Amino acid sequence: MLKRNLTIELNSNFPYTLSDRADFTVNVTNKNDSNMVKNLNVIAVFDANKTVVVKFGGAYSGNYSMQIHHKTYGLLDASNINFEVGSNVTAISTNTGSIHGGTLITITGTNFGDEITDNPVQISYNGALGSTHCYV
Amino acid sequence: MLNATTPLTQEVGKEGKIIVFLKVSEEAVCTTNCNFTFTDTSLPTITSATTVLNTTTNLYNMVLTGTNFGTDMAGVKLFLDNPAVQQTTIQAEATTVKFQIDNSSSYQLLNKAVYFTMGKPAGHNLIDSLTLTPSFISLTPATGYYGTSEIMANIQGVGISDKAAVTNFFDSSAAEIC
Repeated sequence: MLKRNLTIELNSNFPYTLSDRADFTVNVTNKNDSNMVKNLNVIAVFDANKTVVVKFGGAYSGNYSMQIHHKTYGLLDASNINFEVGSNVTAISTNTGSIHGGTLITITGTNFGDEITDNPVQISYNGALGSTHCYV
Repeated sequence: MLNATTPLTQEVGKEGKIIVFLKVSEEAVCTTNCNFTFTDTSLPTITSATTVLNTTTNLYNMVLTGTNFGTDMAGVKLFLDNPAVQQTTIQAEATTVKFQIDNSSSYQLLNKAVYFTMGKPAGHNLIDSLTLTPSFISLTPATGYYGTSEIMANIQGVGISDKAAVTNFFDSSAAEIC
């Protein structure tokens, strides 16, 4: 899954004013591998609705727990947050093409990137050498 | 959504699996049929390409004639410029395809790409030199008053400067109004 802005909503009773994004530290940890920890940059905080906006830069697929720390309050209870990272291919426009090349394949799915270089496409022959790289 | 095109390969009947890589070098999970087979189907071939202003729709059409085009309307596509903008396919027959170009004055025609279901056609170079000559379509409003009306000219085509303006206005007897 690639870069996204995530908005974390704190309890409306959070006792401190959200004024400085540097007051927060946010991490996600893979539930199947506790060594896989990613720090998320806090890019904005909004006291009016008690929200914290972080930039998620991408991670391997899986389920992640989230740790949110405030410099004065301490560790917030985020046990109810399950951050699921994944990307699927859900449809292919055509499954055949000419040996002469140039067949346009439209691939539909979830959580693709926003730039052409984010998602290379290859036609693989069960991992054998000589896989065919497509032009995105 | 991604658009990808296949390169040239010499292996007829070779079957592989389409893989979409994620930025962390991981493969996206495929929940549909991701198998892909190369076949030795003759490429579509373009033998002529023209652009014509449709006087009914007042929009430009691009007309291609040739062979082996197939009849899959959803599979034949024209893209203009970069980022590529897909145009409307309005006819798809074995030897003729036609595209409608909406809002032609918004394009620069720096890139033109046509794809058929079975691949990029031979003779594709024939569309490289196509132009959309600016054509006067209509005036808005159609009526007005001396000295007070602002008139807008509707033009279809590529090549109109954003600083262009109506400079001469003649009545039906060829007398200049303004």
